[in-house]
Amino acid sequence: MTRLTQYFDMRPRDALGALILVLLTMGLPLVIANDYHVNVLVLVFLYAGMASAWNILGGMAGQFSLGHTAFFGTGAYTSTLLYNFAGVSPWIGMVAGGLLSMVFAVIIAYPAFRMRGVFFAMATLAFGEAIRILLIYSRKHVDMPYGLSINWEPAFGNMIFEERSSYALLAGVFLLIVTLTAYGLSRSHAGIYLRAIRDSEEAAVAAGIPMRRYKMIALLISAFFTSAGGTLLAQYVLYIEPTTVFSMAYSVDLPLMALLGGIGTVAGPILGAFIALPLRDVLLDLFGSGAAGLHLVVYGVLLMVIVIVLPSGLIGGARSLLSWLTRRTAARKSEDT
Amino acid sequence: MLDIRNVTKRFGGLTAVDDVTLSVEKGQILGLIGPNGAGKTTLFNVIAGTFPATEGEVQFKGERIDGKRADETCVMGLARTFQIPHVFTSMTVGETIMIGAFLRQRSIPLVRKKAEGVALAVGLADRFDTPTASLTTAERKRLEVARALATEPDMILLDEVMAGLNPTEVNRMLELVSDLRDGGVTVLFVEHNLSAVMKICDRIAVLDHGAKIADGLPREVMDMPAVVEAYLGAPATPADGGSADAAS
Repeated sequence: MTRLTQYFDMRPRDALGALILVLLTMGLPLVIANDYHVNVLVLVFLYAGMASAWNILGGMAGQFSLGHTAFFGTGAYTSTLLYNFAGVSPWIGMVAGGLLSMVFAVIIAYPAFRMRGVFFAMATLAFGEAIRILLIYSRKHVDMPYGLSINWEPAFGNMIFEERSSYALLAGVFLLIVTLTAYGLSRSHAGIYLRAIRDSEEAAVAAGIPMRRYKMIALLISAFFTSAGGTLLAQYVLYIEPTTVFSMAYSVDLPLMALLGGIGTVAGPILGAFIALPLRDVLLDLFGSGAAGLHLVVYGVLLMVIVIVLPSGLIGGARSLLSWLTRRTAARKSEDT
Repeated sequence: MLDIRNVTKRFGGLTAVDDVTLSVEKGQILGLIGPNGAGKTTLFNVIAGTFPATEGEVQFKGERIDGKRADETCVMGLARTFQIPHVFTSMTVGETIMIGAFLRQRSIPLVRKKAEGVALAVGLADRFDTPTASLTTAERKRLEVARALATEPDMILLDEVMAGLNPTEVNRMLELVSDLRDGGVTVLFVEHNLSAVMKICDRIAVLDHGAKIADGLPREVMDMPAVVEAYLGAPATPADGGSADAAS
C-alpha cells in the first residue's frame, strides 16, 4: 500500500494549528457555562465552518461567489421540509440537502464558470436572489406556511438537544471536518492546482490542468458544506423562513470573514469568524442603545479599515510582520559582527 | 510528429492563416518566422488549441488535435509557452514548475525532485524558492519553458521566447533550446529574432500575409527572393525610382 502522506505536504507548524483548533472546538463547549457565551460559540463555529467552505471556492480557487446563500438555504429547507412533512431525520436531511445543493451547483456552474471575476460574482449573486424569490413565489401554488417551525423534541436522531453545549460540540465537529477537508485540499496537488487556476487560467490550462473539473470540485465541496451548515443552523434555531435563510447576508458574511482572516488560507476564514461575530455583538452592546443600526456602521467602518490596512487579511498581516521581524533581527546581527 | 494540413483561420473577413501545410519531424527544431502580422501567432494558437481552425486539420503523433482543449493536448505531450509570460503570482519558482510536473505524477516528494531537475536544466536552480513576482523578464521566460518542460512533453511550442531579452540572455536561451532538442524534445519555435533562428533551427518556415512562402534549410530560405521581399520589400525598379524623383 502506498503511504497516503506521500500525497500530502505537511508542515510541522500545521500540527500546532490542528491542536489549537481541536482544543477550541472540543474544549470550549465543555468549559464555558454561560448560556449567552455558548450561543455565540455555536454561531462562531457554524460561521467559521461555512466561511471555510466558501473559501474553498472563493479563496483557494479564486471564484468569488456571492451566491452561497442559495446553498445555505437549500440545506436549511431540505432538511426541515423532510423532517416536518416526512419525518426524515435531519442527519439524513443534511446529506440530502447537501446533494441537492450540489445539483444546483452544477446548474449554476454551467453558465457561471464561463465568466471571470466580477461577472462570476454577479452571476452567483443573481442565482442566490433568484432562488429566494422563486421560493416565495411558489407559495402561490404550493400550500406551505411562510415560516417553518421545528417542534422541540430533543433526541439525537432529531438533531435537537437539551443542552446548548451539545449544539456547540456539533458545530465544532462540523468546523473540524470542513477544516480538515480544506487542509487536505490545500496540501495536495488539488490545492496547488486551484491556486494555479486562481493566479492564471491560461497558464494553468497550458500546464495540463483540466480547469473546469477542478473548479467544479471546489464548487461541489463548497456547496455541500455550506448546505450542511444551513441544516445545522436550522436545527439550532428551529425556525426558518425564505427571507432569513436565503438572505443575502450569508452570501456577504462568508466572504467577508474569509477576507478579514486571510482569503485562500486554511486558518483565515476561521480567524475571521472568531473575530467578526463577537465584534458585532460587542459593538451592538456598546452602540445598540444609542441609535438603531449605529453598531453596523461602526462594524462596517472597522472592517473597511482592516481590509485597507491589511489587504491579505490578518493572517497575511501576521506573516509580513513575522518576516519583517526576522529580517530586522538578521540585520541587527550582521551590524553587531 | 506534428502535421499541419491545409489550415486556414479566418476572423470574420480577415484571413489570418491561409491554407498552410507544414510538418515537423521528430527531434527537429523548426523555426516559424515572418514579418509582423504574418499569422505566426495565429497558427501557433491553432496548434496549441487556443481556438479551432476554420478549415484544415492539425495532427499530433497521428491523432487530430485541432479543436481539442489546451490541457488535453498537453496530456498528449504537446506543451506551450506564452509570448508574454503568464506567471502564477502567488507561487515560488519551484511551485510553478511542480504544477507542470503534477501532470504525470501525484506524489509530492517525487514531483519536487522532478521540479528541481527541471529548474537545474533551465538555469533557475538558485531561484527555486524565489516568489515568481520578483523574477526578471529573462527569468520569467525561462520559467515559461520550465513549466512546459515539467509536463514531460514530446514536443514544445515556444512563442517568441527571445523577445525582450538582451544578447547575453538570448545566448543562454539558445543553449536551453538546443538542450531541449538534445534531450529528445521536438521544438516549434516562433521567433522574431532572425539571428537566433539561423543559429539553432534545423528547418525554417516563412509566413507572409498568412501564407507559407518558404520552407527549408535556414541558409536556403534566407536566400530566397520571396523571403527577402517579404522582409525588406521588393527592390525598386528604375522606373519606380524615376517617377518618385519626378514627383518630388
